[in-house]
Amino acid sequence: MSSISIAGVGSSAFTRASGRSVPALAREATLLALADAGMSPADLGAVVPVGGSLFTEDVVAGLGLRDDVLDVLPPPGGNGGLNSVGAAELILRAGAADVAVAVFARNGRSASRIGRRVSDLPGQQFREFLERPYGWVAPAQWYAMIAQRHMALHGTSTDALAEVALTMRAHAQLNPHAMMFGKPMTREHYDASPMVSDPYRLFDCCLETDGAVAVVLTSRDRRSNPAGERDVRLLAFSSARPQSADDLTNREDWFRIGLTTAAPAVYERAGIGPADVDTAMIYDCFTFEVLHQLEEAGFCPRGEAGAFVLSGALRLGGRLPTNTHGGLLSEGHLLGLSHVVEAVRQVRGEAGDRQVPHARVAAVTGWGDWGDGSMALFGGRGVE
Amino acid sequence: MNAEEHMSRAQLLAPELAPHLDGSDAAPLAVPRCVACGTHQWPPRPSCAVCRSTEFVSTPVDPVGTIYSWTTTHRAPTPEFAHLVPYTIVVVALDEPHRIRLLGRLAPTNEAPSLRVGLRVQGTRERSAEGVPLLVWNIIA
Ligand SMILES: [Zn+2]
Repeated sequence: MSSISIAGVGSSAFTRASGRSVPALAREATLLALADAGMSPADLGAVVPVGGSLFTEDVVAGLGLRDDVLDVLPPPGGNGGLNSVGAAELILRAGAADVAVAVFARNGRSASRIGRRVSDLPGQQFREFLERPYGWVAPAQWYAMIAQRHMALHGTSTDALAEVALTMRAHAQLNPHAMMFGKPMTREHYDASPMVSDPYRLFDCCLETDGAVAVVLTSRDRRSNPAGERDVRLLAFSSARPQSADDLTNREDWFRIGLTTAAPAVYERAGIGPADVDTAMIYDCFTFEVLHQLEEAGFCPRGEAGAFVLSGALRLGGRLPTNTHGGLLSEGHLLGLSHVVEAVRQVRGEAGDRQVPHARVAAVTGWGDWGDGSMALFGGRGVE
Repeated sequence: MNAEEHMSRAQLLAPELAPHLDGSDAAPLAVPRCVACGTHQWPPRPSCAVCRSTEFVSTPVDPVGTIYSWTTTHRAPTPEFAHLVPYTIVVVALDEPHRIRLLGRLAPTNEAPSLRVGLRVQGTRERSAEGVPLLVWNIIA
């Protein structure tokens, strides 16, 4: 391995009242360090923010970094779940450890509900001064805005949103672990659920959940270990963010998200395409986000996700059985790490009543604060 | 929070934003324009997204445009908004500069059933009950 050196250093002025924003300060120190190294922002492949007051997203906008620059400390939004698997992969590949656990735990219903958690996300200056005064503060309201535009441009219907909610709930009836197991939903129930923020009704919104999920990854050779028989290959992982990751309103293309960049990278690394995926676990914080990600992950052309789901594609027996555990909408919401658990069960052939026959390749997506996105592909026995 | 506290917090946390939150009725609505390359930028940031320059000049804009998207909130996300529901938030694409979009509230007098993407709207500046400046949009013919 080549040696590691420090190539450049930089700092802003140290004062009692800078009169400048945190992103502006971070930008200055980083540019000075790069200049000291004889480099430019285009050289940067990764950002390692010291957590607490600064996010990588604060640095990305100021320096014009690539959408997929590696973020070693991602924000605590929904993309963090799958990103933990990506971070474990990096550590294992670097040889810094040979077994790693990605683990998430939260009392997301009883103690730390979503209304309190949104203030931990990046871009708080925009939230507080440009959005909160209008009462635009909750994820349901942010993403309702994207859904509404998709409906206007592509004729996407509430029937398609309902189909996502009903499919996830039907799948949960086959999963005793799901919070909504034993609570089937009809279209009448869906239509009667209260409107939260147009077009989202209560049943378009994910659950809030107390619980924990853990995933153990290893680089050990397990061929002689009987437990290794059930190992599932992480074929590829990638994570990216939309342009202007911390602001939705002025993003040039509202439908171009992190997944738009991450999905092609993952297919290329794995040497397969969307048609090779047998089952998908899509980050379903809200029903429209499933449609949105189906398009950007390449499972159907942009604008056609409504027709795709209305064909029954997401149901068991459909073209792409999706969120066979019930998803965040009906199984439970632990930042999507539960999607990895279900992907593993499917390609192991251990999904019981909800098993997708001959499932060999499973895709998992992550989605976080305003469209950060990631994707992982998992392969069962014989898939290399 | 009253208007004065709101402004001093903005000065502290978001100095790039603060000059644009003034909201005094006499001041025109303004957005930053990059001195080096002329690009208008919103929301305000430390550097230009196109050329990375850090010098901006505040440029008045006419609050007229079209609804880019909207949502009507029926369940208050937190108790502080309970007295407002139902309320409609719009993202408005300005006619000029056409790449700039501004968030705001649709005036409650506008009929919800007719609401759709593409409607023309005109903005006026108002203040919340606490005195915080707001942009309120009205549908125009
Ligand atoms: Zn510029």
